[in-house]
This record gives sequence, C-alpha cells and structure tokens, in this order.
Amino acid sequence: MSDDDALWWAKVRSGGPQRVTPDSAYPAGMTRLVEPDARAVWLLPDLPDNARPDVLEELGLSGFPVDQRGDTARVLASCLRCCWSEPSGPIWPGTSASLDDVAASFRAITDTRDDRARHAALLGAVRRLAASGWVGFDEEQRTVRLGPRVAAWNAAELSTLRELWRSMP
Amino acid sequence: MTATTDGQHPVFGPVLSELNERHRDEVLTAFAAVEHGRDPVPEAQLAALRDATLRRHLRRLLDRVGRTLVQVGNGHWTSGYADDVAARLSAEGWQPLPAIDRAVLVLVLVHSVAIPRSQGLLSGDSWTSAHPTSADELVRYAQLPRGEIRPALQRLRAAGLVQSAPWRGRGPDTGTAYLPGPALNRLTPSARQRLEHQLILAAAPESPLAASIRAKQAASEHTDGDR
Amino acid sequence: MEENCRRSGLHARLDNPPAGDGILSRMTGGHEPTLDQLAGDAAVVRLYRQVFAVLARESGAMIADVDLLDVDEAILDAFADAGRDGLTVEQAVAACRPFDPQLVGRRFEVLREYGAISKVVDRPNERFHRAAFAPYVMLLFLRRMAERGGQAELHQLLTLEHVNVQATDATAAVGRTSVNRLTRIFRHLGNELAILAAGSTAEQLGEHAQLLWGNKSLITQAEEVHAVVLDRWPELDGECATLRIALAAYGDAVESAAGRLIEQAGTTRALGLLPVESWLSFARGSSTESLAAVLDGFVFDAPAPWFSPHQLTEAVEDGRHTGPVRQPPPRPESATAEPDPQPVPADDREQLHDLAERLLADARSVTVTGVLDGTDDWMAGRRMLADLTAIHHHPDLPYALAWSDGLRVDDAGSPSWVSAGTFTRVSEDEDEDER
Repeated sequence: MSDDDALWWAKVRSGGPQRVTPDSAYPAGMTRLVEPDARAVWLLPDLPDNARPDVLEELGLSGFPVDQRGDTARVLASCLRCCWSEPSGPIWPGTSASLDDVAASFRAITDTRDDRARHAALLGAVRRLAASGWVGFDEEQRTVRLGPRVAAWNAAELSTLRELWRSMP
Repeated sequence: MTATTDGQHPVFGPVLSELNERHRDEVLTAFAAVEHGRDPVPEAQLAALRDATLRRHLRRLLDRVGRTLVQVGNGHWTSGYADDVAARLSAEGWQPLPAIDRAVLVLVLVHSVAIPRSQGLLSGDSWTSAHPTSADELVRYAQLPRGEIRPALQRLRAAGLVQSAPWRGRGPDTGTAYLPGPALNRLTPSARQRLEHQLILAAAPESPLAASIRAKQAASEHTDGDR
Repeated sequence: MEENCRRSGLHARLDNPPAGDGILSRMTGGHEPTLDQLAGDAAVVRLYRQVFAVLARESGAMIADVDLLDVDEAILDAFADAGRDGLTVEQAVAACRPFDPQLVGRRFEVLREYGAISKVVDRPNERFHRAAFAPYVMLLFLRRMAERGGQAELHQLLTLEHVNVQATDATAAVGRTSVNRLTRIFRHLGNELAILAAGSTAEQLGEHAQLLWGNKSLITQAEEVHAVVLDRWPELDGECATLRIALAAYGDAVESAAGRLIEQAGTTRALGLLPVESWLSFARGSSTESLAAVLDGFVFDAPAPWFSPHQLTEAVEDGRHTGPVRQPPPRPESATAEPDPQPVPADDREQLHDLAERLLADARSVTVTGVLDGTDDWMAGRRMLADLTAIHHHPDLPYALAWSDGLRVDDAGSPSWVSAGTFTRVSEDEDEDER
C-alpha cells in the first residue's frame, strides 16, 4: 500500500474502471480483469463485503441516480443473457453479442410498446450502461459485451444472477 | 477478492484490524453510505458518523483510497477527494470530465449559485441551490457548440453533477431546467473555496477581488515553498 | 481634526456652484448679507426643497417606502405630458391610474408643500398646477444612483471635470476647484471602504461591494484630470499632491476591503460580491475552453450506478407482468438537435411531499423522536430517517431537518437511541422562488 495506490483508487473513482497494459500497474486492493486477447487489463476496486454499494439498499439510502432505471436494469439483464456465455463459470469476460440479439432479449422481457419506442429505450440504456462501465458498446459494429463493473458482483450475487439468466427467454 | 494470505484486505485491513467486529461493521457501513450514497448521510443514522472515535477510523479508511470525510450542513456527512490527492491527479493532467461537460457545469453554477448570490437570494454557504438554470441559458445565450450540450447534460446528470428541475420561470421555455447536483456536496471546504476563487478570477479578472485572491494564492504558495 | 472638518466644510460650500455668491461671501468675509445675497440664498433653498420633495414622506420626514417614488414619478410624468395648462389634482389622480387615488392625492400634497408642484397662477381659487423640472431630474438621478451605487454618476462627474479643466478659458481657480472636489470624492470613497474593512461583518461588506466595482477606471479618470491641471497650472502642485494621496489611500482601501471580503466570505459568499452583469457577460460571452478552465484542478466522480441482482430480477419481472410503464417519445438521433425537454428522472417528490405533510399534520414542525416513536422497528426507523433526509435535500420541497446535540438513549424502545432533531416546514415566504 503506497500513496500511488490511493491515487489509483481516486482515478477509478473519477474515471471509471481503468484499462491499462498488462504489466504497467498493480495497485493494492484492485481486481485485475484480463481482456480476452490478454493485451490489456481493467483495474476495478475490490471492496470489503460491508462496504459495497448493496449496503445502501439495506440502509434505505439512494445511490447514483439512473435515468429510466427500470429499462436500464432490463437492458443490463438482457446483456447478461446474451454475453454471459457460460453462466456456470465466471462472468468476466463473457463474449460479445450483436445489438440485435440484445434487442430480441429485451423485447421478450418488456411490454407491448411499439418498436421505435423500445429501440430508443434500448439504445439509451446501452449508452448509459456503457458510460458507467457495466457494458462495452461498439456503436460502429453494433456489438455489446460486458463491462468491467460486472466483476463487482460477489459470489452470492452471481448465483442470484444465474437464476435470473436461466429464467430469461 | 484480492485478499492477502492472512485474509486481510490489502487496503483496508490495517485500519480494520484495530477494531472489534462490531466497530468494523459500523465503520464499513458508514464507508459505504458516504461513498456510494447520493446525498449526505445524517450522522444520527450511523454510529460511525456520530461517534468521534469511530469517525476517525472512518476517515483513515477513506484516506487509504484518496478520499476524505466532508461535513455538510449540520450533522450530515459525505465523502470527497482528499485535497492532496486531487492536487496530485491534476498535476498529472488527470481530467476525465470532457471540456464541454465542465463548461456546462460552470454555466449551471453561475446561473444557479453565483447570480442568485449577487442578487442576495441565497442563504447558507454551499454549492447547492434551488434556483434553476434554464435550458435557454445553456443553448441560446451561451457560446457553446449546441449539438454537444445535450449529451454533456446527460453525462453530468449521470454523474450527479447536475439534476433536472422543472422550469418555473417566465417565458416560452417551459422545458427542463437544471440545478447543481448532489455531487457538489462532495467538495471539501478548501475545494469549495477554490471553486469560488476560480470563478471570480475567470469572470472578473480585473476586479479588486480577483487581485486579492491572486495575492492570497501567491502568499500561500510562498509559505508552501518554505516548508 | 476639528480644524480639518471645518475647513473641508468650507471647501464644500466654496465648491458647490449652487451656493452662489451669498454664502461664499458670508463665510469668507463675514459682512452683513445684502438683500441680493438673501434673495440668492432663498433661491438655493427653494431649489433644494423642490429637489428633495420626491424623497419627502410628509412635511419634514423622509419616505420609508421606495414605492412612493413610483407615484411621484407618475405624477411628474403626468405634468410633463399635460402641457402648459397644467393639471388639477383630479386630473393628476386620473392620469396616475392604476395608483390608488388617495395615495396619489397625498403625494401630490407633499410635492406641493415642497414647491415641486405649485399653482399655475398664485391665487386662492386656482385649481391648475404646474411642476418644476428639478425634482424630476433628481428622481432620475436617484434611480441611477440606486442601480449602481453611484458609480456611473461618478464616472460622468469625472468626465465633466476633465472637460472643465481642458476648456480654453479655464483659469487656475477652475483647476483648483476641480482637483479639490476630486480629492474629497476619493477621500469619501476611501474612508467608507476603510471603515468597512476595519470593522464590518462579511454581510455588511458584501452590501457595499459595489464601492469596489470599477475602481481602476475611476482612478484612471481622476489621474487624467490631475495630469491636465498639473500641466496647465504648475502652481497647483500642492493641491495635486493632496489628490494623489487621496487616490492612493482609496486604492489601499479597495485592496484591504477586497482582501477582507475574500477572507471572510467563506466558500461561496464571495460570489455575491460581483455584480450580476459580470456573471452574465462571463456566462454568455466565454468560449467552452474558458468556461471549462474554471474547473481545472477539480476531480469529480464518474457515474457509478449500482445494480443489485435483486433489482435486475425485479425489473425483469416488472417488464413481463405489467403493461407499458412509460412511453418515452423517440428521441432524434441527430447530434445537432437541441435538447428536448427530457423526462424528469423518476422522482419521488410527490411521495416525499405526502409523507412530509402526513408527518407534520398541519404543525409547523415535529420532533424526530416523535416521528420515530411511530415506526415499528429499527429498520422502519432507519428508512424513515432516510426519507426525512431525502425530503430535506429535495430542491423542490420546503422542509428542513435539523439536528441538535441531545441524544435520547432508550434501550427498551425499538430504535435504542434517537438524536434530538426537528423536522420543519420552511415558510414559503423565506424562499421566494419556491412559489
């Protein structure tokens, strides 16, 4: 633990999970998520159990505001369904999926609203999730993958998510 | 989990090991509340905010990750970047917020805080305000590239730096207006003051106020240099 | 000191043109005033009375309500429009609608008592009145003074002085008068600031912040007059030196007042020390880069919303079982589109407002202890506290939560300790914009 570690923590806090070359930084207390091609790693803070954001719910406190929270959560669930190729295994890195696949999954779990509105909701949610590191979104290729933040879910949470995964069409 | 061999968390372990189990839980819970909560937390709600000794441990915990405890108003707490850490990051040129986002945020601060201040409409001494900035001020009157304003506002809203408010003013724009967001509560007292000074320096560089701010800054740099 | 005051009092009279020869000769010579001099004095007093009529509440007292100036202005406007016939009281009242006729009548009477309005012909049954022009000029002057604390007037005065001393027929006496007048103006300004800087609260200083505005250009203008005078009449070297001292003292006073303001202003209050126009021209005239530069050196949090598996599961369930939740209008994808009114993020304002009203039940405030006594268990109590806090922080809700030091410890009770706090309705009057 050094001053530089604190600096890395502050960088992730202010800039989101940080992508670095594999052997460039080893800040204390951070999970290192290796990219599938092993050419980069993501640095993600690893918080002790009682210090994670899930504590807020228990305290009845609000966390970061999210626009269209319901749709955003549903789109994240759809991304999980499409990108978590082996739900028996680790969630990271998963595989990438086409936006159309995610859209199909989202359609299956949403209401009867018209296609245009649903597409707008999907796109808005994917961008929001990408901005906060929950998914990666390649706008040109129209592909989606999981973002480094998914690695913040702990084992117990992952087992709930596995159940969700199985229940989804 | 990146625990070391003795099961201790490499960052928090050294601080937590000095505490009994109950205090450890209380300090960690308060850490989560101030770090992840949108708004400042009332100290009445959490033992580690209320109790000065536990609060000191909480402060040490935050310090390990470049953060510090910030008091807001009477008896509310949140966390923010430690001043020295923010300074070191800036010295490295670290600025994740795009220029357009910063410009829009500054406009919201001018219209929602500085101008109501000059009109004598604000009491208290914080960067929050109930005086909305109309979308018109950002889009029509300011010299910003129009197409970039909306995405910037979305990013700022996602970061809690601005929040939407209904526009209740006169005029045709019945649309959205904006207020400084809850994230402004996270500025430390010295950051709050620095923001005030930088705004005055930018808006009225020739004013006697700006001159005395520059003199004060020069004096403090001088003292720092002596140390 | 006393000598000084007396002398400057004398100068003031010497330099004030309206004072005329009458007072001057009495103050300097001590002769018995002649009839002409007395007539001159009377004229001066008459002008003073007219000029101050707009500020008179009634005979002998000053107005306490500036709204009365609006009525005065309406009356004087009516006279300007009336032409050479003048106006009767009734006509003036009619012309001043929608102002209250009684109020207009009273102001008419006050203006008449001060000679700002007088009968067209001085005879008992005369109903028509005319208005003097001086009170109207005074009114305009007062309004301008009130707007910018007299800065613009000072600038104009300095411009006039400059013209005066440059006039080809100007004499050394004109130069002396001019320089002396400037010396006293800057002594006044400097004294006011120095006294404020030495012993006022930040609030008091803030109220007088306009004394600091435009100081550089005032000094520059004064220096220009000074340069002309010294160049034309080297014998006025002494007077010029006094002016230089006054200017330097004013500069010092500005500096120390500004320093003290910054020192005392806390972390946002100093913003109020700049005029609104400075902020507006900065906000509306600056480039993206110069605006953004204000936040150089600041670090803010990246968006980091949390999604618990429980929330995801719930959202998926909701999506399946309920109908359309909301139908946001499709947004234009064009990057050049102006911001359309965005849906306000799901806000619990209504819910929080209802809760606050339920808790207060017509009372202005309730104790937190009382509120928590009504909750079932520890968890419910914690949630209630969280709701109170959310209400407190909500920008649109007029309620406040305040904590004091007392702590109630009650082991038997379900929340085992409760801090002494009060939850209060903030009066809407206190917060103008809430309406």
